Amino acid sequence: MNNIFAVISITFKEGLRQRILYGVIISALFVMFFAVLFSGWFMRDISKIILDFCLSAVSVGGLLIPFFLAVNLLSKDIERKTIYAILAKPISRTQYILGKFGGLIALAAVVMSILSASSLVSVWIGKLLYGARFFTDFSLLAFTQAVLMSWLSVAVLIALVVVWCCVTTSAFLATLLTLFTYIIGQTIDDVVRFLSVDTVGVEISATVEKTVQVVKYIFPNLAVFDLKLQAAHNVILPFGEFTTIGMYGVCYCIVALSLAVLIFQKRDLA
Amino acid sequence: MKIRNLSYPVIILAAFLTVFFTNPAYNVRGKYLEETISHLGNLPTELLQSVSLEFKGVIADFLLMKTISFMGMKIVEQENPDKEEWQRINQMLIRITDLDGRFRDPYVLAEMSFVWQAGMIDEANILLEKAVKNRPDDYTPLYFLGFNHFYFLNDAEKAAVYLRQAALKPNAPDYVKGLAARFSLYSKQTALGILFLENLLQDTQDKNIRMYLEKRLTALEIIDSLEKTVIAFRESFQQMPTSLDDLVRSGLLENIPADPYGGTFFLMDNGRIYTTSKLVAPLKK
Repeated sequence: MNNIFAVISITFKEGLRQRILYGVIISALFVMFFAVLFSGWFMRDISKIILDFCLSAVSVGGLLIPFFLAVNLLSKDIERKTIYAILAKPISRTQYILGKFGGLIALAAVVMSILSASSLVSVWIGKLLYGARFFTDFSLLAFTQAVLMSWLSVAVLIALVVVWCCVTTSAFLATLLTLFTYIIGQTIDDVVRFLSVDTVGVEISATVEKTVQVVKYIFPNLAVFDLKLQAAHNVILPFGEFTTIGMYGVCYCIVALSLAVLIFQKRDLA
Repeated sequence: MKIRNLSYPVIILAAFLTVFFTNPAYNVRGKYLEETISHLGNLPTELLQSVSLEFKGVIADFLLMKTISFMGMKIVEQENPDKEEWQRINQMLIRITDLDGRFRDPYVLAEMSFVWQAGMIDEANILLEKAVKNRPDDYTPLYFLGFNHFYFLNDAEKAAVYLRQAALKPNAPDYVKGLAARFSLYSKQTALGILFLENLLQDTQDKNIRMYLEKRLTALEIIDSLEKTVIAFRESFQQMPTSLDDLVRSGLLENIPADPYGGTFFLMDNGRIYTTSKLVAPLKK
């Protein structure tokens, strides 16, 4: 366990060394300013506009980790052979994978927390500027639910980045696969729902239907973690539903990481 | 060394030219703004939903901002969108509410502009029915539907049904609760129009839209005041005035007020007041 924490700590510090926090703080200030300014152009839904912007910024901030940092930290380790220095120590390949994942989700948590805090400041400034009556729909619980689920969505994506980095030796290919995973994950829900409705004049072949059914279980449904609209309209998810989505995300991460460990253990790093 | 010496004037000149070209660039963009709206509104809903990924809320916000900017530009230029543009705006509001069905502003915008400015009562009502479905706790869509049926469609019976439903919603203000019952007492639609516009203004932030609503409210208040003077004339002289000049001659009215839309107020046969501008801003020449 200590070994895993050691890798988590190294990954976290390595991530911070990339100076992402500077970028995140600048983005947070920009989002705060822009969200408050932009919301003033609207008629009534001022709190919704601020939350839409801020929660999207939280998501984008989190997504930077799997898209840029994760691939960089994982693939480059193998490409530049720096992984030898880590694995030469009494750290198993499983501990390395779990540690990397842990470090990356911790980084995502820090980034998303900074952006979430700035979002709350935006709401507060918005209240001062436009009046509390436009913010009666704001709920801290719904906001927290949205941020937590957004973080879980990023964690699922990071788990898949780990898988892709174990499968391929190229950082570019891993980034591309992550991008495809993200787009499929965000749209698979719509595709499945579209196929489940009988549309007059639209005939769908059995092969397409079966393929989608298989893809449904292989790729994560990232759309289920998107609670931004609910938070913007003060729709709080009941505990049961929130737990269901949470369990789906956690289980998916466990499966993806197990797969990554299996592949990585068999991989020839020479 | 020479290049280094040259770089400062080049940078200063570039900075100066950037400032110089800023406004012309904005003007070029303004010329094609209308086109941008039409293209986005024509995208199929399914495609728009898919490409929006997890950012449907923000995309809906941007699309509405584009629509408001377009309409704001028309208000500032004292122009009215033409029939085709109104249809594009309608398409856009449909797309926006497909992305975020609970978004309140597109429905309010439809109510403020479609029914008052474009005469698109049916289109506004379709959007409002969508709002009733997507915002089950909100009284406003039902209130707007009730108003449209009473004021524009002359269907007091259906209006009362909508208002009764609106009154049952948890956020319904007290006046809505009493309004359904008092509907039949509103022999003058103008009074209801004033009340309705005052409520819209209370919650409207946008400067251009406020300007538009205030202008209409002023016009309705003048009409209401003139109609009251006509009643006073009839009670005093036991006959209807033949024109608004009779009111001035009788001393009941100091002068005929100016129509904020640039038209002239006139007396109709039924004793009601209307204006030659039809409460629409004239086209800017």
